[in-house]
Amino acid sequence: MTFRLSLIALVTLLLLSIGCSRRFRLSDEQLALPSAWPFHRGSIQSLGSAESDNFNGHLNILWEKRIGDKPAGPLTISHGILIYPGSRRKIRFFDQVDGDYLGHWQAKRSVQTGLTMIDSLAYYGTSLPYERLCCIDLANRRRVWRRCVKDVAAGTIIIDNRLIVASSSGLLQAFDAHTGNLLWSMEVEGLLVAGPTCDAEKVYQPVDNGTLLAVAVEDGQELFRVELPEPVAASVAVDDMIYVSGVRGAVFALDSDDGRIVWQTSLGGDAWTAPAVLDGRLFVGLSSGELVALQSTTGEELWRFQTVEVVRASATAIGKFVVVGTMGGKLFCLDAATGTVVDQRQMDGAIAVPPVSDGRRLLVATDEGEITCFGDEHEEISRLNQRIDSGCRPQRTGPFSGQGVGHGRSQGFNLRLRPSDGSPGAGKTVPRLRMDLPL
Amino acid sequence: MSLLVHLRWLTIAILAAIFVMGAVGESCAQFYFGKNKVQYARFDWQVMTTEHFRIYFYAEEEQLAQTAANLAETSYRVLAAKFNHEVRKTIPLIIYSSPTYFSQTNVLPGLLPESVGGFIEFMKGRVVVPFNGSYGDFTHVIRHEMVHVFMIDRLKAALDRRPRTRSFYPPLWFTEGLAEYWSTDWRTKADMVVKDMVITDKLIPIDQLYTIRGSFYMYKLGESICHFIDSAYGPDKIPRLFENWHKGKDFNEVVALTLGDDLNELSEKWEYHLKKKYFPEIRELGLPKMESRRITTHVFSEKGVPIRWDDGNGAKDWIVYKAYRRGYSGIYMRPIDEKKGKVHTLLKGERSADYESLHLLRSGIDANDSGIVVFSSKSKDADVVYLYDLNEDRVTRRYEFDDLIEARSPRLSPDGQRIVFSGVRKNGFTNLYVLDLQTGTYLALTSDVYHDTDPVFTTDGRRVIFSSNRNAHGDDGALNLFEIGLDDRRIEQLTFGNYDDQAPECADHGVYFSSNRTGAYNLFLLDEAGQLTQQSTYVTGAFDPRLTRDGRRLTYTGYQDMGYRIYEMDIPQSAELVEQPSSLGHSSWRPPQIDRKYSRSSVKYDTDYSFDIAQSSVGYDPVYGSLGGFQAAMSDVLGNRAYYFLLTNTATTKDELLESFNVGVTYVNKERRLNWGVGLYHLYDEYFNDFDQYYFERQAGGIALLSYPMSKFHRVDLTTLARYSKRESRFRFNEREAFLVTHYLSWVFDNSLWDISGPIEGRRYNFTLGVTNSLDRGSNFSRIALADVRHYFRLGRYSAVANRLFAYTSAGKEPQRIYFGGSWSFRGYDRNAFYHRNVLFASTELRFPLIDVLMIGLPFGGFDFRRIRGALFFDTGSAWDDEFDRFLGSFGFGFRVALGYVVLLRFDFTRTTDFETVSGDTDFDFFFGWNF
Repeated sequence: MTFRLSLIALVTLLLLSIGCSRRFRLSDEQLALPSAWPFHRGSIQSLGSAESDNFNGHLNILWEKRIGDKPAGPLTISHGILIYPGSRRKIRFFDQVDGDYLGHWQAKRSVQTGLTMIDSLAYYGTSLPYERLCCIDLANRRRVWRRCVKDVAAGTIIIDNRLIVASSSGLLQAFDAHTGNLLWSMEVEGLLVAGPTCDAEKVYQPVDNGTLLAVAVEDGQELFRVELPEPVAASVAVDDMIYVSGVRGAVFALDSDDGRIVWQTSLGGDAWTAPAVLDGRLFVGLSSGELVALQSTTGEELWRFQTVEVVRASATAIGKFVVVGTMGGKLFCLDAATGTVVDQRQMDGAIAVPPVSDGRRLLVATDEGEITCFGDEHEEISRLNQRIDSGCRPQRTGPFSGQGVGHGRSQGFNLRLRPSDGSPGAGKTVPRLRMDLPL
Repeated sequence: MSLLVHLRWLTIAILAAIFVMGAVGESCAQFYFGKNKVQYARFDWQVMTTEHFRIYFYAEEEQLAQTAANLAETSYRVLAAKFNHEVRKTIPLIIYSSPTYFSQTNVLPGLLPESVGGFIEFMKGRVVVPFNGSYGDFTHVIRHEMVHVFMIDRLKAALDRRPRTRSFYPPLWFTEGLAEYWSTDWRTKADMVVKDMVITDKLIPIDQLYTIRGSFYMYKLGESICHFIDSAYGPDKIPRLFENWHKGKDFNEVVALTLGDDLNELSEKWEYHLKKKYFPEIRELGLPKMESRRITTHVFSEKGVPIRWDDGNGAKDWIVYKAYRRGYSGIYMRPIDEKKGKVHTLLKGERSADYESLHLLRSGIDANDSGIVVFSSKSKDADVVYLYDLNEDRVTRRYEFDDLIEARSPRLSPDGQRIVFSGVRKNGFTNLYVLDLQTGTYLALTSDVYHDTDPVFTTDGRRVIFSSNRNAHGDDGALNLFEIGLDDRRIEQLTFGNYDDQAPECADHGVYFSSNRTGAYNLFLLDEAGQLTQQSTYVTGAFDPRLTRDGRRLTYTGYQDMGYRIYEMDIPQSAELVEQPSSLGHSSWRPPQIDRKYSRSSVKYDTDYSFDIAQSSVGYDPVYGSLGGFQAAMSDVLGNRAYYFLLTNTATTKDELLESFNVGVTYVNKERRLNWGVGLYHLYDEYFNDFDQYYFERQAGGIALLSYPMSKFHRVDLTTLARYSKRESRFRFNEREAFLVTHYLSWVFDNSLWDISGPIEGRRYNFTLGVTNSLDRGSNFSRIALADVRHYFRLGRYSAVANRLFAYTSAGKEPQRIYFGGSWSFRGYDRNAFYHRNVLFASTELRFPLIDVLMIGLPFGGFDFRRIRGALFFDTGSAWDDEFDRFLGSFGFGFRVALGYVVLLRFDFTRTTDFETVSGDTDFDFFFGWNF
């Protein structure tokens, strides 16, 4: 009996260790899928938003994973995969639809930049003391190149095969995305603590001393610089405008041609977040717990919502809604037009990295190492069933796959999913998808 | 003394004592001495829960707890935004309504200095804060401690995000400086301290700030640096420091990464900034030392009262004042006009229960030409007002107050028949009281929530002028002058504005007072016509104005050269008129209280235990094999009740495993004045002593401890042990089995003052009697008597002569012998050279400063040793069993090197003597520990 128990324990441990060390490889099928949120703020403009008609604003849980590893940097979604840079140096990959654990990549240090992907190539920067900018090919799990770049600021941008990287030591650099060759480099007086933002021709780089720098994507020539009266938290470039949030709560709208200030307003609180921009509205979260919506053309305040807890993660706009998480673990989904609460959740752990979205689902990570995917459960079920009926690719199950929907698909079972009895709306019990296994 | 080695019965007592007395007494290192934390008051503890706090308070301070809850929640929101962080666990906040009660807290085991205004305990994150009567100070202290809470949690969160990074803690100047910076505005007193250091060229660079560890200067310089970082580098930099914490190997690297400048560059820029800021002020304003005549020279002498008194050599002008000298506060006097006049010590505080604390900074004194000096002092559980008669050179009257905890700043009426003072009730509110010196009766002049201080009779004795926060800016901590009629109790506001108007002094032509209304603290006169004029223009600060007997000069406490001294200045013929702000309505504010909807109703405190420490250890002994053990301690939130656990095993073979467990559990209760504890234990081990050689002993039984402190300085301890004891020897020698009951009764006195190397002034006594009876045989098993007397005579600031007399005797069927000899006891002789049942020993030692800083440079860096002390000593003693042999002696010199603030490294070079010859060799010995 004892021997049998020991054997079972040993095999379990063995399986767990095999599962834990599972390595991620990008398949051709995944490679064909589009990248919904490949950069730290969704796009090269750092909009922090996803256009969508499919997100209904209700925070119904589609799947959730507890991995016990805090996020070290921003989440990204690429090729249908949620990419989670953990503080224990592992970059974990999950199926964005059903939360299946797909494997990991082991970095030398925690990946503070998050992962940026183009095709099968992924880019990330690691934290001290092993400060590197790395390019890996996830299709064959090979390191393509790496460069020593000191303290890469959160988020890298890829435009025209140029990888734009800001490092806190004051270097703004462009590397060839395929070869890693340095294309241009610019030394800036001051510290670069926020990532760059791009439009088609220019890179906009905030500097901690209040400067916003515009340089040409092509050759790194400085085009103009704007001296703002307070340290800059982040910038967004959209529609010939650059929106800049200042640490002391001022928001500036600059003309992207010459840096001229079009409008500016003070929000009355410290802002450490990047603005989210969608449909002519700007959403800025404040340390005082407020989320403020501004008219993007005039700076007029549209509404203001008090979460009562510190907002450190930038807000995310999805279709007609804006989502904001707090350091106390509260997650609010608000009507982007009015600021009224559509739904809210209390998460287990602080929300310190911005939520990401593919337009259908909202993915949120907390400091307790929990990832939750929200969305329309009815639509999701029909999509999953379609996917199952169409004979979706087989998947190995990993140690994290037992909690979410869809596990067991790899065996080719004819799974039919149906929604739980929970109804959408605030204060409800957590609706989970259940599986009928006709075995 | 090394008497506590391998003794049979005492083993248990030591075990229990290390556990228990360490918690009961102040110093666990020398547990049979130590001052006492006396629980004079009993509290009915309640708990109120708010969104982020669990607030512990006693029934009498419920109103204050509501205010504290409001302040704490408000501070939480402010700091959450500043740190950009939320603390996700509930924060325990323990409130005391006065500093006197606060000093009784058991959250920290040691005695709290009076200057401690609140603290955070790191193990369980408990915040403990007293209310001193001022809501401004209360807000400041709560927020200060909250900054620490946020800082700890923020750093933990930052490091958790990168768990493999090396962790380090910020320097003290930064933690305390930021706590000050984010808890209060840049105040006039902070400005005064920093300005004085800059102008007198005493500013300390950042890399040397550790040398003023923990002092007020470090707090204020740290605050100034944080202020500078914010203004010069940007408001984002301090929060970014925490964000970048994982990026550097040490604090310097994090600073360099965040600011772009390392600490040396930051220091240079900060010093330059301060010089540019403060140097221009000296053009317009003056320094007390240059513009006035200095009367006292001690670094901390203040609250001076000029009187005219005849000491038998003719009437002359004297100044009576309080001062902090050589570690104690006291009351002194000296002639005003004699430059080298002798200082007379009237009274030395902090050495006896009657004068436990003279409240050097918090309470003024008064005196009149009749030679009566009035002052207040903490005496056991509450403040007492004393009258000291200069003519009789002693305290002649003592006034106690039934319902007051504190009595501060007493002032005599013009006829000398009454005293007005500010008193604090158990609810924490500070009001004015008038005491009739003839009858001893007292009555309240005010009775409300406002902070009324520094009262003084008008010259006609019919009204009292005082300082109070019952003004429009009182919730910000502002103090203005008010006047109350003794007959009609009508209160009238005299000064206005968001200033700190304090220490009024009445004259026929108006009221002198100190205020920060033109920047630095200076002296002002509010004349009868209501006109306000500035009497002094000092760049640092002037406080406590007093008119001399001729009415032409003012004495005051001036701040300069990092200290308070008493100066004398002429009253200016013409003074600049100062405009008063308009008289906004006073008493328009009430202390804010938390909205009931944000707090759950109070419930009675239920003991809530959690672990203080839990540790295990494994070792290997070449003789006894592997050894393992586990120790744990758990206590409740208030620290009043605690359990101590011990679990080890001394088995050397597998067969002995079960019977070789050493188990002990002790419960200690410190909630009441009578501290008590009970415990159970089982011990089994092999022991050795020179008399019995090797033997095994199994002991199982119980222990009961009682400790009753009569005051802070002396107590009675009673320890009772009842146990089964079985002793076995490998050679069947001296084996026995017995049921033993032992009683130890000790009287302990300790009022010693410690320098970094050990006691330097005061006395320490321990007289102990013990008796052990065998229950089964009804016989008297053993008796002991012990006397340990130590006197320390101060010679200078860091020098003293220390004397020790130790006598020990034991008798009975199985007398308890003690080891004796070695560096800790009889120097020059081998450790444990003597093992006898009678010991007589005397030691005298001259302690003096030797080297202040010894810097050693090495190619890869340098280090320094600070405060190296020297010692010359002579020891003599003898130990014997039945017949006294002779006295032996030793003498030599040594030096002591402080290793941080924890241990001392003692090096001794000794020669021995039998008083006929002196040994030819010099014995060298070194020892980690303290001086006796």
